[in-house]
Amino acid sequence: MKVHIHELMDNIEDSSVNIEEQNVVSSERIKELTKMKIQNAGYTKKRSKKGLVTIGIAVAVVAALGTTAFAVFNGGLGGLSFGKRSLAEEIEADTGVSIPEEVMATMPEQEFISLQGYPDSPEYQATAEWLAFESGYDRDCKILDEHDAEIRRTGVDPFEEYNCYLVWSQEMVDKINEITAKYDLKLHTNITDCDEKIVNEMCGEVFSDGFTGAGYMYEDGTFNLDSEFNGIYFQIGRCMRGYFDTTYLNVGNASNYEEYEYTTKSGITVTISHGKGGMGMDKWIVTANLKDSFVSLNTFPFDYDGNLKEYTKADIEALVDSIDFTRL
Amino acid sequence: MNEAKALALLKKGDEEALEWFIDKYSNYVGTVVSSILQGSMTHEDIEEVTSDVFVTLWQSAEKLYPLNLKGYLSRVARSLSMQKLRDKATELPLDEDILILDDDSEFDRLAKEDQDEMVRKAVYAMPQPDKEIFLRFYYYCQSVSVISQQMQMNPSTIKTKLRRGRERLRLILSNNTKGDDLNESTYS
Repeated sequence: MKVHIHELMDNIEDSSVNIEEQNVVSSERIKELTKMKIQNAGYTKKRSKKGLVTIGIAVAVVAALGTTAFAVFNGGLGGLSFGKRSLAEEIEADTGVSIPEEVMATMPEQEFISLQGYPDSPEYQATAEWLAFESGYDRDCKILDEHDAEIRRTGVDPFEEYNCYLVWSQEMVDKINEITAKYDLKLHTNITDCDEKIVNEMCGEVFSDGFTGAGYMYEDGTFNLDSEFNGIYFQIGRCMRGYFDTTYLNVGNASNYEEYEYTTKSGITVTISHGKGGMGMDKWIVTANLKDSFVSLNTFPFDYDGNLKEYTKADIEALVDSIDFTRL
Repeated sequence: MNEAKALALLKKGDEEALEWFIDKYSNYVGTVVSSILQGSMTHEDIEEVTSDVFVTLWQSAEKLYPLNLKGYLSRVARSLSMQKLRDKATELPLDEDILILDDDSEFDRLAKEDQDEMVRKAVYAMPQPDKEIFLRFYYYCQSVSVISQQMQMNPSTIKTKLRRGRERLRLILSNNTKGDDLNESTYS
């Protein structure tokens, strides 16, 4: 049997060799090429600094409606929505090119939900206001480019204090300060690596034996872990009440999810939603609207080896039963 | 922002997180791609493949775990670069880069993923600096002269250690031994 050594090496990973990095490509050029390919392939169903035209409008509508209009949906994904975003409309707006209807049909709108709480919470309202601001800010990236150039020149990020947020101008910092003052929220100030053991040490035994997770945590206890338990692969996050957080989740279309309430073994009632996620693949989302935090869990469609995964209702209920939500 | 958060945001669909990864890893990925394609391809080809690595990262984000992203990126960079070379089919492998395994080797009977695991274990079990030399040459496709320069070793020593590495790998894959009995004096 003959084997070619280069081919033998095709499927192993290495980071042990400290390769002497050279400046052979421009990161700006790579960004440009990568985004162009993603757009051309129709992969952009995601958040972009230049994007968010439609979501911005939707958030503004939500803000105008106030909280009452959404209160009736409280408990489901629809009630958490920040609005929908149309990639096709964004491309038309950014390029001025009209997209044919048949192509439009292949690019459905994407809906984004809050991971901070429902619209009656200051955390939701603050994030909505931030997203409305951010969506229309620096759409041609000129300010960002100036900021990047300044960092390259000076080696100092003038907004280092806000490194838990994606900001690149004093105007953005001012907006964050305005929002947090308006809604009486504090800022995340320090981010560290986190795993399930750290969460258990901090909160008590939240996660059972067999649970593994890795991710990040802020000093206030807001965390996000990529996790695995009993062959289920998912993300779990907690946003603490009283803090400003800007993350959100692409759920595809919130109204296409089947939802029900379930009381876990820890005695906390959660909402379980099942449908197709932003990539059109099977997704389960669990939310728990707790006194001190908002907890969300969403499954991944793959395991860490890239094998497709689908889960049953019983799988998800067993998973949430293994988590002690009372400690979150 | 740290890597775990950037990956979490990427999974949630955040293009700014993608930009963060490009800022952090474009030099690394570009260096890996360049070391494989240099001499055979243009600078534009190197840019193309480097950007393809980040497109793959974007598409695969939901499958990734934040423990060894650098290793993942090196594998994708290497794989896409090798594919580019194979598409052009410019060169045949040298005889010394082909291992002839025993006909009854366990390796031949293994499933592909088990073969990959066996190769990985065999390479990682090599003593240093043989392991690093082997990886630089066969994984990152660096030339003997580049390895010699970067590891500050004599080219003939590099060649000797590569030869020993090939023999070690051949023996392990042929017989599924751990290669523990292969010492310096036997194969220098």
